Formats: sequence, C-alpha cells, structure tokens
Amino acid sequence: MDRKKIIFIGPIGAGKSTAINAVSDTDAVATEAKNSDTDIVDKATTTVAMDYGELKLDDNNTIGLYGIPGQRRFNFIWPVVSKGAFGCILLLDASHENCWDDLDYFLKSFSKFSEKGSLIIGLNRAEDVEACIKKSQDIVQDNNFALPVFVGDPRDRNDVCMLIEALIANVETQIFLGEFSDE
Amino acid sequence: MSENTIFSATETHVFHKSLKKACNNCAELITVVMATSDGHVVASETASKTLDTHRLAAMAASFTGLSYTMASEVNMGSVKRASIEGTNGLLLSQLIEVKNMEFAVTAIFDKDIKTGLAQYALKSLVADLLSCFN
Repeated sequence: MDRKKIIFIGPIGAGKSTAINAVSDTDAVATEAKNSDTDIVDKATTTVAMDYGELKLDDNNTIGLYGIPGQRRFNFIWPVVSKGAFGCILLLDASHENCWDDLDYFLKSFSKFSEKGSLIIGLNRAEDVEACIKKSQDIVQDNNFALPVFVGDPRDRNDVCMLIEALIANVETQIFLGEFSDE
Repeated sequence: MSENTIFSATETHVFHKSLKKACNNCAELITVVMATSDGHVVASETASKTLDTHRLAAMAASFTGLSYTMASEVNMGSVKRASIEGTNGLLLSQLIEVKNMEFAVTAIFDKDIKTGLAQYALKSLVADLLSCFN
C-alpha cells in the first residue's frame, strides 16, 4: 500500500478544515482552539497545530490530508506539517478583503511547491468567478509561476475531490515534463 | 506580532504580576507565558533577552492543542499538563478554561529543577491566574 501526503494551506477561514472533513474517509483529527481573531474571521474555533484526514483511493492507496493553521504567527509549524508532501492545495476566501494579499503571501511562503507546479489554487465564495480567476492568474504570473486556479465549495466532497484530482494530474504532468526535458 | 486584544492594559498588568511572582518564588523558572489558546500573548515574564515570547505563545498553542488532541485520541482522560524534558531544562504547558475563554500557560525551567517542584510551581501559578478572574 502506497501512502501519499498533500497539504491544505491558506489563511484562517479559507475552508481548510472543512475541506478535509468533507473528503476524509476516517474521522478527521483536528486541533481546535477558541478563535480570538473574530475581527478577521467570525468563527468560534480555529486550527492551532494541524488537521488530519485520510482519503482512500480505488487502487487501495491512501492519501493523507493535512491542514495547516492559517495565521501567519503559526508559520513555524508549516514546514513541519508540509514535510514529505507531494503537493498542496491553496484555499482562499475570495470574498475576504485580504484574499489577494494572502494569495501572494502563500505562493511565496510555499514556493517549494509553487515553483515546481505542485500547488493548485481553490477559490471559495467567488461571486464574479471570471474576475476572481483572472485576478488570481495575474498574481500567479507576477510571481513567475504557472498554476491552475479552480472555484469550488470546501463543504462539497465532489469539489474537494476535484481539487485533489487536479493536483495529482498537475504533479504527474510536471514529472512527465521534467523527465521529457531531461532526455 | 500577535498582540492580545482581549484584555485592557490594567488587566494584563494583573496577569503579569502573577507571572512575575511565580518567577520570584521559583529560582529555576526562567520563562513563563500566558497565551490565548489560539496563540496570542496575554502576558509574559522571561529572564532571556533573546526569546521571542510572541513566537513562543503561538508554539505553546500548537503544542497544547496537539498534546490534548493526542491525549484524547489515546483515551488518556483529563489532561493535567503537557511536558518536554530536554538536557537543558523542562517545559510544562497547561490549558486553562475560565469564563468561556481558554489560555495556554507555559513555564520553562532550567535543568536544576525537580519535576515535582516544577509541577507545583505551575499549579500555583495557574491557581493565582484563575483567582485574577474572580
């Protein structure tokens, strides 16, 4: 049995824990504490260490789903949680005023993944879908990356599975292109 | 930097007095941080000139969060505190809940401390902090 690991990244309130809960085939493990940043995101609790869930694939393989705490003060734990991951899904709340700054910040903070194309972006609560995707792509290109952007609902299992499948496909494409360019 | 926005300067001063008293009562207690359970510093006292107490507060929140979750996962029952023993000292961290708020209280002792004394020092400090809310 093969075990792969992906991480869900993004700011507080982006839907990381929700997405892991939506797709995990086991009871997701959460490290929740009372949220005192209610001026930023109005929710009762927030992740302080990590989330963990598992997605079982048809071929008997399992994907470990890890979520980071999104507040920047927790950046010390991000390398710990992301160690050994083959890719990451960056979730963002497109209706939040800091969305685009957060996109830029997380692309840079997880450049290890952005640079090699093993990161995809999932926009949540995007009202003007076309404009949001365009804005995201502009920021991605400004950082000299080429990364796919999707719109979806982290509560919806199908949407989250689509993001995971897209990530796997993108990583496989990058590996294939890498091997092709080595020849 | 993660500043505490829950308490006024006067309230924070009261907590700080408790932390200072704990350090005065235990020579081996070198750093103590009271943080919200999501990693904001409420008050801190340290003998170290280089320690970033804001960073420590965030780490304390992660540490206690993960420790308490692990304890629950393996049915350890009610958790008293989480600890790290190193060659240079001992760290104890405890989550306290009061008036619908949660705090992580973290105490770092130098290597000369006896574990029982460290536990007693943290227990006394927690009792003192809880009395501040009455």
